[in-house]
Formats: sequence, C-alpha cells, structure tokens
Amino acid sequence: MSDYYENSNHSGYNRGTWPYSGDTSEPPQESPSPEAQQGLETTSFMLGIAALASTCFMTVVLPCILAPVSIVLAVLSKGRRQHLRGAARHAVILSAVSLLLNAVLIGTSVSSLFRSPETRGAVNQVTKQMYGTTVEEMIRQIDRDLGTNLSSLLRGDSTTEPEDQNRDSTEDGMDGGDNGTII
Amino acid sequence: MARSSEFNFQRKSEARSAIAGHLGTTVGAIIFYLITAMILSTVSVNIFPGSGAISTVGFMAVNFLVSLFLGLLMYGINILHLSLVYGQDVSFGGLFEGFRRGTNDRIIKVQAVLTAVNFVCTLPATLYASKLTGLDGIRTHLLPLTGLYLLGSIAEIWFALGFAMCYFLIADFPEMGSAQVLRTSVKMMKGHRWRLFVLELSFLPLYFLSLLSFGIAALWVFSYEAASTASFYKWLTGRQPASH
Repeated sequence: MSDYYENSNHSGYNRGTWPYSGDTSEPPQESPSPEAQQGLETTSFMLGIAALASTCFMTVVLPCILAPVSIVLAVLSKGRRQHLRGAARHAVILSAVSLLLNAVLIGTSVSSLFRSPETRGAVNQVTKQMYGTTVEEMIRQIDRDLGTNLSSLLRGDSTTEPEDQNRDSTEDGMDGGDNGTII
Repeated sequence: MARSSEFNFQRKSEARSAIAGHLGTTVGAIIFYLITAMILSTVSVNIFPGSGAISTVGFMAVNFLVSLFLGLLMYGINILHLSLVYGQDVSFGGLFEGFRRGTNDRIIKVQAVLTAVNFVCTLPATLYASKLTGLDGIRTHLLPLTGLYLLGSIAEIWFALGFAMCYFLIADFPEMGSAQVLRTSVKMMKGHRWRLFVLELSFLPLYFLSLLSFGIAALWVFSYEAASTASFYKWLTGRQPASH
C-alpha cells in the first residue's frame, strides 16, 4: 500500500513539501487574496441585481441564466468562511427573489393560456405568424407524441366555429322535412 | 476521523480559496474542452451515419479515439486545479499539459482502460435497448431497461471512484507507468470511495440549480468540483501510510 510513498521520487506537486507526515489533522491553509474574494462578491451582487431587474421587465430567460450564476459566484466567494457575508448574501437573496418572481410570472402566464380563450386566441395569432401553427395544435401534437391529455385542460374555445351552428340548424331542418313528408 | 460534513467543508473551502482569482483561466479551459468535445462528437456522428454493422463499429471506433483525445484535455483541466490547490501559478496553456511527450502515452493508456470499463458497464443496457422498437417497445420494457441502466451506472461509479486519482498520480509521479498508476489509484481509494462519493454528491444541488441557466452556471460548479477533487487527492497523499 505504501510503496508509492516510500519508493517514489517526488518531483511534482508535492516536491519536498510533506510537513504533515504522521499528522492526519487538517493542515493550516493559506487564505485566498481579499481582492479575489471581493471581486467575486461584487460580481455576484451585480448579477443578482441584473437578475431581479430583468424579471421586472418580464424577460423570462435572462433571470434564469443570471440568478444561478450569481448564486454560484456568491458560494465561491465564501473562501474559507463558513457563511456568506455582505454583498454575497444580498446577491443570493436577490437571485432567489428573482427566480421566485419569474416562476410566478411563468405560472400565471401558462395558467392564463389554458384557462382564458381570449389570451389563447391572441397567442394563437402570434404563433401562427411565427411558426405557422396555433398553440392548441401544438398541445394536441404533444398529446399524440407523449400520450398525455393536456388538451383536456384547455378551457373554452379560442376560435369561432360557424360549422357547429350550421350543423345544428341543418339537422333541425332535416327532421322537420322528414316528418313533413311521412304520410 | 472527521465527520463527512466537516471533511467536505475542509475540502470545499480549500477548493474555493484555490480557485478564487483564477476562475477566468479554469472556466476558460472548461469552455475550450466543451467546445472541442461538441465539435468532435458532431464529426464522429456524421462520419459513420446509418445503423448497419459497419457504421456501428466505425462509430464506436471513432468514439473511442475521441475519448482518448478528450482524456488528454481532461488531464490538463485536472492538473490546472491541482496546481491551484498546491498554490502554484497557472495559465491557460496548462490545459495542454497532457500533450507533453512522456505524459501523453500514459494518459492515453489510462484513458483507454477507463473508456473500456465505461463501455463494459453500459453494454448490457445498450444491447437490451437496441432490441426494442419504438416508444411502445420502450414503455413495455421500461422496468428491466431502467434496472439495467441503474446497475450499469452503479458499476461505472464504483470503478470511476477507484480510478479517480489516476490523473493526479500521472502528474505527481512521472516515473510511474500507466498500469502502476491504475493499481495505485485503486489502492489509494480503498476505504475512501464513500468519502469521495459523498463529496461529489454534495455538488448536486448546485448542478440542479445550473439546469435553470441551461448549464451556464455549471461551468463554475465544475471548476469548484475539480478543485475539491484535487484537494481530496492532496489530503489523501498527506496521510501517513502506516495508519492504514
């Protein structure tokens, strides 16, 4: 087991720097430079503010990118400390708030899309222009591909259906005509 | 022996201290690696299109060569972080350390073994999945397929933990051959696999958070994880061998 310790000629990273032989407790470590930590804290704080601002402008995707990066940089700025401090803590709070707000915005938008025919009609016009298909057709395609039943959640009809009214009136006419001709 | 949470805190705080001020270099190296991997994967898929026997064997051969090449870059990434943990200066050029004569042959041999082990672990699930036709086929055989993937993943993780110190050993012991590197890594990790596994698992929350950012935040998390693994190696080699 110990042959790689005894027989090796350390010439790499541990070159003559084994001051901790026989001692398995944690050795004293150098602290990171304060400028580096400060830089990370400031960067994460700025990204947190940017994430919250972009949420307020309803950009949806931008907060999803900025907030996690801000949180990760805030964690990295901890260095040897146990807890976040100062700007890093504020960055995490701002990022968390922006993610929460973004989730609420997305949730209410999707809910409105399913519940409100008027909203769906307006979105259909845009998707028709951009992708050549409506939101309802996309949802039905998803149901066909994945075997789900999302289209049952769609409330109301976002388009006018004149053929339904025509079919009803035609059926009434036929019934009346048939009865009239039977002797 | 320190509790795992305390142990993880020590490793991760050392990693954070090491990479602070050098994230530009480490993240830049990771981005270069990812772009290279993406280009090579795209090329390898398009060299042998189709699903015939020749195409499949050709694709596997090209994939194997790509993994060997990427292993040289991954060695560079690991050594960048190892240098930082030991307080040494680094530059972007350190990413290409694996291409040096005297080092590249050992890395290629070690990476060949790692790729072969990965292939063997995933083979049962891949063969089973290849016999299923369409989405319905997968749905009806979901349970055995999931079981095979799970077992293969567990085996892969077990081997990966055993060989986790290979790149560091190649850098630290230039006289050690590739076979000895593999054996030594497994010996070193005996009794410490669970500790490293728990350390790696502790990064999962940050990786899940990174999913929201389409993986962009994961660049920094990967650097953090690589430095923590280097710190683990430093801790492992600092222990007195007689204590085992």
